[in-house]
Amino acid sequence: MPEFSVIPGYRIVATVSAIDAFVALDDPSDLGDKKFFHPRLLRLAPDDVFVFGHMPPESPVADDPHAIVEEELGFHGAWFSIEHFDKHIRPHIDWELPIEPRSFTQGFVANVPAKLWLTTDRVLLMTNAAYAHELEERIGE
Amino acid sequence: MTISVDGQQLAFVEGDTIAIAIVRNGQHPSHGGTLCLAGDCGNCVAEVDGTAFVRTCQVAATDTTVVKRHPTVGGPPIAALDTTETRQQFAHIPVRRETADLVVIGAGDSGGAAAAVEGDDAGRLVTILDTRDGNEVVGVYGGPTVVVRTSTGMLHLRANDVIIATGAAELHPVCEGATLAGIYTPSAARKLKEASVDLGNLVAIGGTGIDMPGRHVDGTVVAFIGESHVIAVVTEDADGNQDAHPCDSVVVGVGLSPRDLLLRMTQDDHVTVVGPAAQKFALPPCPDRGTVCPCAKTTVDDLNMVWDKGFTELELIKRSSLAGTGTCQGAVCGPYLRSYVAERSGETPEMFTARPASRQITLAEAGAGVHPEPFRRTALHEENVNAGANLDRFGNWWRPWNYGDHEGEYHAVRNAVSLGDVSTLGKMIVDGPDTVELLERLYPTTIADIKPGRSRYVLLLNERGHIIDDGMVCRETDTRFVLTFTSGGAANAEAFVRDWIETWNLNVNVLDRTMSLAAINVTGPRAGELLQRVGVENPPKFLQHQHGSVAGIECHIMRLSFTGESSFELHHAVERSAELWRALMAAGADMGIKPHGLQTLFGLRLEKGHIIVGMDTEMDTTPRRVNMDWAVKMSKPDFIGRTALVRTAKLPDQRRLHGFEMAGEAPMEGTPIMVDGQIHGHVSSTFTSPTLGKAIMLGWLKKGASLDGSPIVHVEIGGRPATVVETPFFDHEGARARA
Repeated sequence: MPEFSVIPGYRIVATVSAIDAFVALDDPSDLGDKKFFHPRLLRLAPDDVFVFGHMPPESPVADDPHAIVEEELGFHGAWFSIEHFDKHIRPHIDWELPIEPRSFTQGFVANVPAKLWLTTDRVLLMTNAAYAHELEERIGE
Repeated sequence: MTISVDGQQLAFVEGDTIAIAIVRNGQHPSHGGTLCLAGDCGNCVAEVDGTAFVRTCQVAATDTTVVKRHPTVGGPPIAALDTTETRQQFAHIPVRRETADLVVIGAGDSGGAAAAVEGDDAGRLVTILDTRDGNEVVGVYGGPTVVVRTSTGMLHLRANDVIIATGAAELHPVCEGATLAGIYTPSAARKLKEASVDLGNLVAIGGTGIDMPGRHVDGTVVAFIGESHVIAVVTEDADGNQDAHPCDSVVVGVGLSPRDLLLRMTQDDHVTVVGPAAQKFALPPCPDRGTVCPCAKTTVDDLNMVWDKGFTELELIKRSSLAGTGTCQGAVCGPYLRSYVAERSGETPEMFTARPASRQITLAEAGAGVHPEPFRRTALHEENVNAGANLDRFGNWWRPWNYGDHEGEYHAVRNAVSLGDVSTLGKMIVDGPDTVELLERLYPTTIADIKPGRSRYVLLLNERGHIIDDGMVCRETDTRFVLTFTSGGAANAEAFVRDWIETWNLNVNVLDRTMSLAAINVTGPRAGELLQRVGVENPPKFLQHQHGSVAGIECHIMRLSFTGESSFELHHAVERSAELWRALMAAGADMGIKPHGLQTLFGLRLEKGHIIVGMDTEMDTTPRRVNMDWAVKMSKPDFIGRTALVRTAKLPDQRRLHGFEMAGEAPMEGTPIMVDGQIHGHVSSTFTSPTLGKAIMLGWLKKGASLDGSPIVHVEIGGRPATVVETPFFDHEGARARA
């Protein structure tokens, strides 16, 4: 099983409209379906995104001068193949996963709060660092 | 071949179930009652090989089988297991979680037909589950999910569709004497006959279409006669003429009812029912005497009693009489209860809801594969373990209680420098044009006059003016603040703050950093010196805070004090926490640095008289009761709880938190405080102070406890004299924290 490690990135919390604009700016091609799915970011809540990678020196959110932009090293996780996910992780999920081929979703995995980024060929499973050991143990059983 | 039943060896033949083996020997698996031998009723349950409530008609007899009948009155004794053993049992039940397209429960005629038509003909993949194949469905949940007990463990099957084809169950007779041994349903009698069990003089009454062995007699059953085993059955013809028929056994065909227990567990559109399980059979006649529910031993007299008390709906009758709450969940009594209500009310009620498990399963089986609530580890977990920490659970975190040397840890804080893992504290960033207004309304303390780079201790109150948390407010800019909360309060802090932002329609962004940031408390008279050694040239002064590099790691450095010593909280990314911890420990090695645990922290803060919310406070504790009026600015126009505080300020104060001290070791927390031989309070925190050489305590004392109304000075705690004293107990001026 792939080992969990820190998923580096940064968090942006701002007004919903500012986050909408940020997401659209980053990938203006199709905001509609990608409002909660994006190849470079995870929209954790309407006013909260996690962006993969290093934090920029300046706030990337132009529309909200009070946007909170903070480095986020508190998520741990790993990428799994679809086959591994179906066999070892999906059985620990009691809720309905989205059927779209590319989706971001959040809920309990083996009773541990987690985030799932489902792509067409692999799945990113993330949780808070404080829960990482529990989640690894439980899905590894 | 024999089985052991209550210590008696009973012979059986190959292929016997336990129930058939017992009947073969002229006995009853429990203490009487009609046997169906189909798993529908609870009349054959017994303890088998240490597991109670086993339906003996469903388990094969073996040479090693040990059966103990349940007591006649009450349930079987619960075996005392230590928790370790229980955990092992849980671990030993494997769980398979699988998915299926179409699940058909029941492999009989209707199940087979459903599988063929709905499955094979429709090109769907069908999974058939049947008890006779060792797949005992014990629950159907929404989803739908089917929970199955198999010979190799539990199976949790997620299906697209479920068809219940469990057939029909045979009704038991309800009349006087129906709890005797020697009474069988038609299919049970046939099974016994096929197993060559000698039932003696067998009388057969009624019919359900199932071929019944025995000597048939006409009429309906009105009573069974006998002491423990039936010796005669009384029938009645259409004209009311009664006739007694001597016998050794009786087979009674009363009727059928749908075996729909699994269907009644869920209301999922993807769960359907077919065949006899879906059929509306005629209800039996309303019972007028005898035991209606053999599981709960509910009689017709009991039903009459609850009916007369006004419980006239089926669900209420079930709850008040307990009929239908036993082993079979109404499989036996349900039709009779419906008939009873129909006769009295004129309306036939639907059968009541059923709940998993339909068959009695062990706790190990129920809990198999269930994940308990997870406990969080701080980023310093490994460091703590390596340092010899004794960990304990606090607020869903594993936290060090001590590192094996509680007193050494204490002296490190008071005399040198020490590190505390305080990563569990709540941490939140708020920023927005309305932040100051938010915080002014949220906290009872003045916020607007806090300058950037400064911080203030705050209480958090609810609308009733009761203390729900405390923490620090650190101002970073005009609009940006960092808030801290207690470890216990952190979980609700974000929801609390966001709720009020929405309620007041304020424009404030909120980012909860509790799980993203670790925190180390550097505390002790040499704490500032240690920080200088790791690159902090000018550590912040008391109640100041700043951002900066500590041993090369970016930190938010907050100067405050809970221990009473000079203290710096270093908030930093969890990913760098172990690195920072090691750097600090290395830099302070020659100072006698030690980590300290919660045991030490609780004692240190008690010497300073600092409360711990939730430990020293109660559900209705106002600031006045803990002598913290100083943390409330009533001159502010409004804040959460202000209205309640204005109102309660006019009421007499019933009790207060006080400091106490006495010679010797500290008593246990919760020890009663006695005045003139009467309990007048209890201690909430206790500590044997190495510095002060005595026991110090915080505790609740009723107002007016003294007989003459004077302030109380002398009390008795744990049978020893103690004195009420002012707090803090140590460093009254607070010079050490500011040093």
